[in-house]
Amino acid sequence: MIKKSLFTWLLIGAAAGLVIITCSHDKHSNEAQQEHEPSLIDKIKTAGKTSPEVEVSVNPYKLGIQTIKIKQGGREFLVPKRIEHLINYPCASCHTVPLSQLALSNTDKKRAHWNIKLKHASADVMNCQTCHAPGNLNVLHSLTGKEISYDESFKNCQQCHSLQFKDWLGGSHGKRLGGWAPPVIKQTCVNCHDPHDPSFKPRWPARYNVLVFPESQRELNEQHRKFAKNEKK
Amino acid sequence: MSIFKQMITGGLKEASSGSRAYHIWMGSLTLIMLIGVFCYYVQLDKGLIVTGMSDRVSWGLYISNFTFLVGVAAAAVMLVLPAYIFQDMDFSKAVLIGEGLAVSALVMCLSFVIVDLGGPQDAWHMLTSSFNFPNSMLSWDVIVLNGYLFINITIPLYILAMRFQGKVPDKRIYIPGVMISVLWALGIHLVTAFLYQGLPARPYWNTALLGPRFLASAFAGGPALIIIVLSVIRNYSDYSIEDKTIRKIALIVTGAAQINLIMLFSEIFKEFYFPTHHAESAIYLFFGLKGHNALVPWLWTSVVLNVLATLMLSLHRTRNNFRLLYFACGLLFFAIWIEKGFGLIIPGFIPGPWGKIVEYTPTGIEIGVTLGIWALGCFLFTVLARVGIAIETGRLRSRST
Amino acid sequence: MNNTVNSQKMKKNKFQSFLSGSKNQNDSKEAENKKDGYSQVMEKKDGRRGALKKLTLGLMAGSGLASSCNPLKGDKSLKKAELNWEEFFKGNYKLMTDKEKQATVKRLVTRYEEKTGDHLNMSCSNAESNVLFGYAFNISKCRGYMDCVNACVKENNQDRASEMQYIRIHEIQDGKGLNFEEADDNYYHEIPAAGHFYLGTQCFHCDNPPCVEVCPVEATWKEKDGLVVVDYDWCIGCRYCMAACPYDGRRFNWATPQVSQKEVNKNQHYLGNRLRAKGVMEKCTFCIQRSRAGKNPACVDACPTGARIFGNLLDPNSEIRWILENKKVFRLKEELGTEPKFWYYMD
Repeated sequence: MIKKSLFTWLLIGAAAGLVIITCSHDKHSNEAQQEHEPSLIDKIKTAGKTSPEVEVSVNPYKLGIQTIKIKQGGREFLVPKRIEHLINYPCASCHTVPLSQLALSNTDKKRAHWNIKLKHASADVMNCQTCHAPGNLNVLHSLTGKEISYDESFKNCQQCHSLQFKDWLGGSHGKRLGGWAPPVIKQTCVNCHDPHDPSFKPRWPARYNVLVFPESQRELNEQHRKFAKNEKK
Repeated sequence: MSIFKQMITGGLKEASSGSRAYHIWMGSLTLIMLIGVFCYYVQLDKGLIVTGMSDRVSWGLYISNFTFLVGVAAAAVMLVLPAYIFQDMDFSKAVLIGEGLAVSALVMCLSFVIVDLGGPQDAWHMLTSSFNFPNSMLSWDVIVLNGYLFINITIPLYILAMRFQGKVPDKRIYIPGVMISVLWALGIHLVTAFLYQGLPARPYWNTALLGPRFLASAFAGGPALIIIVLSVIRNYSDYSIEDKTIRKIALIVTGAAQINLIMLFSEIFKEFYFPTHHAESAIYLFFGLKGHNALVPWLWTSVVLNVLATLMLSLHRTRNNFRLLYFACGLLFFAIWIEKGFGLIIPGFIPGPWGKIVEYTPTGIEIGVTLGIWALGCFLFTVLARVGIAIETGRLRSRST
Repeated sequence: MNNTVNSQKMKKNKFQSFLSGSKNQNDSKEAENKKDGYSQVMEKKDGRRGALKKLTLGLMAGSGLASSCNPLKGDKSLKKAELNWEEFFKGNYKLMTDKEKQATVKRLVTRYEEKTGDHLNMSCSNAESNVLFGYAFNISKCRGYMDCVNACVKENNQDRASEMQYIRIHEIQDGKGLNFEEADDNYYHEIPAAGHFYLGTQCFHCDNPPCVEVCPVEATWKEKDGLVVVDYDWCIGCRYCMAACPYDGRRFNWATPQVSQKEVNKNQHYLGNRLRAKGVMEKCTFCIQRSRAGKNPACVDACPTGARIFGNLLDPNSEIRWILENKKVFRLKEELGTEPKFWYYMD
C-alpha cells in the first residue's frame, strides 16, 4: 500500500512541477507578450491619422524622370511628365493647318500616323477628335472642349473610366514608381495602356514552370546534376 | 568507480563472446550499420536531395520511423506499470528488459531525428538561449526524449551495479525512478503526438484523437515486440521467463489493440461519413486520390493485419497457443509500424496546402540509412540484454565478491 | 520639392548612422543585454572561449603551417581559419547587437570576395519603427503572365537547378470558386485562358505565424516591420516550419543551390537574398533588401498589370490602406487565425 500512495504522490508532484515550469517560463517568454499584443487590424487602426515619418525615401531624380504634382480627390502625388517622351512634340511643327483643311487636301492622309489604328471603343462612341483637339493639336481636349495638357492626359480617361480613375487615385489600380516610400510617384494611365489600343494582349507566360511540382525528388536530383555539368563547361 | 570499470570490461567480454549464431548476428548487424554510415555520408555530401523527400512531402521514412519508435520506447516502460499493479511478476526482470528496449529505441529515435536534419553540424544551436521552449513542441520533444533516455540509463545501471556486486537493489531507490519513467513515457508519447496534432496546416493530423491513438497503438505494438523479444531470450539464453509473464503481457497487448481498433473505426467514420476537403488525406490513404495510390496497398495490409491480429489475440484459444501468439504479435507489430509510421506521416502532406499531390517513394540511400539505424538499435539491445542477463543470472560478478 | 530635399537629408543621416553603427540608440542598448548564442554556452567570454578558439585555430592552421615554411601564407591561412571559426560559432542574428550584425556581414562579404574575387554589397539594416509591411493582390487584374516569378528568382538568388520559386500562380476556372484542388499551377499556354482567373500565393508574412511558433531554435521570427525572416546560418534544417505553414510559403534547399557567378544579385541583405547553403530553409522576405530601402519587392515592380500592391500599413494614406478600407478584401484560410498580411481584392 505504501507503494501505491507513493505512486500517487509522484503523479501529483510531476503535475505540479510541470505547472510551475510552464508558469515561470511564461513570465519571461514572448508568448505572454504575444497574447496581449493587439490584433493586426487594431494595430493598423490605432496607427494614427497622419502619415508617419519614415527614414527611407524615393528620389525621382535618381529614377531619371521628371514629375508633376497632382492634387485630386483629397490625395496628392506625383506623375511622370509625358511631353518629354513625345518624339515629334510640339505637334504644331508639322500640323501647320487645322485638321479640317488637312482632310480636304488631296495628299496622302495617312503618311504620318499610318500605324495608329483606334481600337479603344466603338466608332459610335469615339474617334480621334474625342481626345485630340482638332483646332490645337499641341493639346488634348475634354468632352466639353476644355484644353488638357499631354502631361495630364488622365483627365481625358477619367471622363469615361470614372471607376478606374477613383481606384487609381486611391491606389488599387495602377502602379507606383520607385517604391512604397514617400513621395508617391504613380504611373499615369498612358504609361501602361496605349490610349489607341488600351487592352492588355494575351501572350505566353514568361516562363515554363514544369519543375514546380516534380513527380519525384529524383527529377530534381537529375536537374542538379545537369546544371553542375553545364557550369563546369 | 572501479566497480563500473569492472562492469564495463566484464560486459565487453561478455558481449564479444558467444556462439557462432551470435557472432553471425552481430557481424551482419555491423555490416548493415556500415552500409548505413556510407549512405549517410552520401547524404551529408550531396544534401537531402538524395532522399525521396521534396518540398511537397518534406518528412519521410526517417520521421515515420522516429514516430513509431517513440511509441516502442514509451510502451516498453509502460509495461512496468501493469507488472507493478499485478504484483505477481518478477518486477526487476520486466524493468530490465523494458528499459533496455527503451534505451535502444530512444537511441534510434534520436538518430532518426539527426539524420533528418539538413544541418546536423548546427544542432548545438539548441543548447543556446535561442532554444524555443516552451513554444515549439519539437523543443519539448528534445527535452522529454533526452530526459527519458537519462532515466532509462540510470535505473538499470543502478540495478545492475547492485546485482554485479551481489547485493539486492533497494526498492526504495529504484521504484520512484521507475514510476517517474512511467509517467515520463506517457509524456514522450503525448508530446510526440502533439508535435503533429498542433499543426492546423495539416488537417489530417489536427485531430484530438491523435494523442490517445498514439498511446493505444504504442501499448499494442511495443509490448508485442517485447513478447517476441522475450520468446527469443527464452530460447537462446539461460534467462528464465515464465509463461505467466508472457500471458500477462499478451493481455495488455490485446486490450490496447482492441482500443486502437475502436479508435481507427471512429476515425474512419469521421472522415468518410461526410467527406470534406479535410478528408482528402484519408481518401488518398485509403482509396487513392486522382490516380495517386502508392500508400493504398500498404494501408490495407495494415488494416487487415491489425484486425486479424486483434482477433487472434482476443480469442483465448489462439492467444494461449504461444506459437500463434508470437505470430499474432509479429503481425500486429508490422501493422502498427505501417499505420503509425508512413501511414501517419506521409498522408499529412498529401495533398499539399494548395491541393497538389506529389507522391513520396524513399530512395535506396534513405532505406540504407534507415536499415543502418535499425541495425544500430538491434545491436545495442543485444549488447544490453546480454550483459544485463549475464549480471542478472549471476554469471557476471564483481571480483571483490 | 521641399519634401524631396528633406527626405534626402534624412537618407544621408541614416546612411551616416548606418556607417557608425548606432542607428537606433535604444535598439542597440536593448540588444546589448542579450548575448549571442555561443557566449550563452561558454559564459566566460575570454576564458574558456578564447582558449578553445586558440586551440582550434592552431589545429586548423597547423597543417597549412607544416606543409609550407612561408610564414606569410601561414598567417593568411590562420586568418582564414579564424574567420571560418568565428563564422561557424556566431550567434543567432535575432539576438545580435548592431555591432555583431555588422561584423558578421563583414565576414561574409570578405569570405565571398576571397572566394570569387567579386565585390558584394550586403546590408544588415534594421526595421523602421513606423513601418508595417502589407501586400494586396488584385485577382481581377492578374493574367498569369509569370513575370513576377522571373523577377523574384533573379532578385533573390534562388536555386536555378531545381527552379525554386517563392511565388505560385494558380489558374482557376470561373465558377469553381477558390478550389485549389482543381486549380492548375503548371499551365503553359496562351494566357489569360478564357473562363479562368489567376491568383498568386507566396509567403503571406502572417502576423501570427505558425512557422515561427514551431521553430525549435528561433531561426525564424517576425521582425518589427512585420517581415517573417529566416537566419539561414542558424537554421538546423528540421523542416518543422514547412509542415506548420498552411500556405506553402517555405522552401528547402535539398542540395547546394546553384546560381552561376554572373547571375548572382550582389545587392544583398543578411536576412534576404544572400547566398544560401544546402540544408536550410528559405522563403519570400518581401525582398527585404529592397523593401527596407524604400523600394517595392521585385514581383510588384515586375507585374505588368499592376495586380500587386505593396506598402506601409501604418500609413493611413498608403495605397494598401486605401484598398483595405475601400475594397472588399479577403485572405486565404482566415479561419486558422494566422492573420496574413496579404489581402486579395477585386476591382
